[in-house]
Amino acid sequence: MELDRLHLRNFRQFYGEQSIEFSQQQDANVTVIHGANGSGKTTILNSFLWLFYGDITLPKSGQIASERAMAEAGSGGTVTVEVHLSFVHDGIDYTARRTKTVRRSESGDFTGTEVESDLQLEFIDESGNRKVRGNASDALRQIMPERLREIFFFDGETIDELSAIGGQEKIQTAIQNIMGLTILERGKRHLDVVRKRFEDQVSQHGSDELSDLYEERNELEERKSSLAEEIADTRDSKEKTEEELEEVERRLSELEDSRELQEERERLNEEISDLNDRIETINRELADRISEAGYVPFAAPAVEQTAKMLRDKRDKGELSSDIKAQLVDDLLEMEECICGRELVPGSESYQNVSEWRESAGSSELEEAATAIASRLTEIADEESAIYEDMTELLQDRSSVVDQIQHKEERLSEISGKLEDLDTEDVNRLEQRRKELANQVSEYDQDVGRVKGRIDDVESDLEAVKAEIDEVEEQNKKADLARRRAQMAEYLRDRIDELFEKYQDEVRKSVNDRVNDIFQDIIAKDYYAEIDEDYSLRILKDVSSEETIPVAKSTGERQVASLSFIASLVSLARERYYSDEESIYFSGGIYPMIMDSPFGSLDPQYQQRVSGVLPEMAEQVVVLVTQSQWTPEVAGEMDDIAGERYNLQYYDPSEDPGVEYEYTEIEPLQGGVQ
Amino acid sequence: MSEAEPPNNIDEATVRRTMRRILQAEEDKLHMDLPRGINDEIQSIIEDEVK
Repeated sequence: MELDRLHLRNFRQFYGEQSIEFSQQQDANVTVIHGANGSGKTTILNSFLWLFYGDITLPKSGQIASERAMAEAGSGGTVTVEVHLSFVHDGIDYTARRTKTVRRSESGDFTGTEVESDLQLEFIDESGNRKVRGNASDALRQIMPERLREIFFFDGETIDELSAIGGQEKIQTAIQNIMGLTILERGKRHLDVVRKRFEDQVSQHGSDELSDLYEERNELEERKSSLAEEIADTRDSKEKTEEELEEVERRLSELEDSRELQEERERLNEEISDLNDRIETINRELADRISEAGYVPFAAPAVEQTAKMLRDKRDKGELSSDIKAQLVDDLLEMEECICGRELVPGSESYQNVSEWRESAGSSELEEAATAIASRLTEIADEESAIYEDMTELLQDRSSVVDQIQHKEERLSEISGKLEDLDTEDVNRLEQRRKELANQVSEYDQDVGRVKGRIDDVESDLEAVKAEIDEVEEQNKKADLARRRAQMAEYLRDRIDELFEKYQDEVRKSVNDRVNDIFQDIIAKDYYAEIDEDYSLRILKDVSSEETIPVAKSTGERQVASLSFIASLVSLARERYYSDEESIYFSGGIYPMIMDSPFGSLDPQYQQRVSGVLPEMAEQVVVLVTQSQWTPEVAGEMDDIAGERYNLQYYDPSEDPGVEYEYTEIEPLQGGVQ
Repeated sequence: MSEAEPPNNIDEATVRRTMRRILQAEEDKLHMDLPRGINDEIQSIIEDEVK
């Protein structure tokens, strides 16, 4: 990010419209803003914070508008506050503008009530057109992440906290954030959450139910098999019984006393069998007829209604017409009427014939209506036919049933007569025959019952199989969820490895850079170190093999902290220009905006810091008091200060002509041209 | 070295691609203190890559 121009309007003590242009010269990249204590240096810093994050860290933070502007607005009047920054980021020209309008309620009210506020971020696209970025707040935070604000917009009076006890977390966070490791750290955490989600899915879909269902299916299949065996056994038994029955009947037909009756019985049994076949045939014919035309009786009311509708339309002349459109067209084309009169186009007779077309019927519609009417008639005829056919078949069946019954009655008579015969053999054989016949009948009933049970088992089997299919489908889902959980865990471990590896590499890189900068500034034989716990320490050699930590002065801590920040900015810049691609560390160009960077430093250190300032970042903005602008500092900075300003503060307590405090930004001569 | 193994039938190219997509999603939301929806996004990415 390269700063171009900052514009303030009624922002805090900056009354009216005032602006600062930042130096963009490569060899004079420092912008110096001079100001006495209370003149607004920290307010300038806060203007950046307010613009980017909507936040300020000044006392009376709710009081955004200039007191003088509020006083001039009067009760009920409004004041618009604005901070407007133009800058370049990633080669694109941006203009960010935050405004807030407040209304003064009464005299003494310098806070006001917000009327409206707005944040806008414009940019120039590739074609040179000015466009507005959606979600300006997010966009600005992407350009200048809020978690890095303490690094790039820093207050020199508190910066030494980095190297104080307890500063490790800030250092570690700063390294992670600016070097892109935050992406890896977050990735790890979020993958843990996602892994658990997939594991929950495994629990949800996977279960022991499947093995129970398989067992149930096996049991049902075994039962079905067992029942089938039972039927087979029963049929075997029936066959044997039928063989014995046949033998008994043969014996009866051989015996003289029973022969005739037995022969009649056999004949009757054959006839009954034929008649049963006939009943089956009739039942099939009934079923076929119903399949073919069973709908007809149900359709009859709709058919009648449709036919009636067609008749009505015909009666009203809507469908049929005595005159066909085609005839009219033909007459007009031939220019001759049916009666022979000439039809001259444009004549009255021609016009009269043309008008017939309106009442002429469409032949297509007529044909369609005729076809429908014809089909409706067919359906109506079918209704009669189906009733006739069904009646005939039912009567036929009833007749056959009667015949069977009659013949069975005769069989019963024959059996009775054979039992009544005195001949012992016949008597015994007949009884045995009856037993065997009953047995055969029972076997048939048994087979029927077992078949019914088989049907039930098959029905249960179907249900279990359907359930198995469903659970197998669920298990597939469980299996998939398991694989995804495994992937999440694996990725998490891979990212963790990357994180650990690069975190340590980055710490060492930062460490080397910090020490280089630190030693440029510190005159003593000290060096700075970021240890494995991320403590920023200052050490000195006591022998070739021994080093000890130094009790740091405030100034030394400030130098160490400054060195640390400068090293991060430098590394981020280096990474940005590097060809090496890495999604989690793309680097960036950041300015450094420092309020009182020389705060607690000895003059010697102030001079040295001044000397290295231009190298700390591509653009450096320093806000300094007069006391900090020592000759040593001025000597170092004069050549590299591309722009210089003075904050002229007007204090009511010192100037009776001033009613409300305000500051004016005055450009100073002496910036390098 | 990680102890976990990638699922069967997932090659290294898929692993790298998935990781890159996830880290890109993280970068896109890096400016947010609370990156809303990031877990859903990562879940979708893995569901898309592991079928």
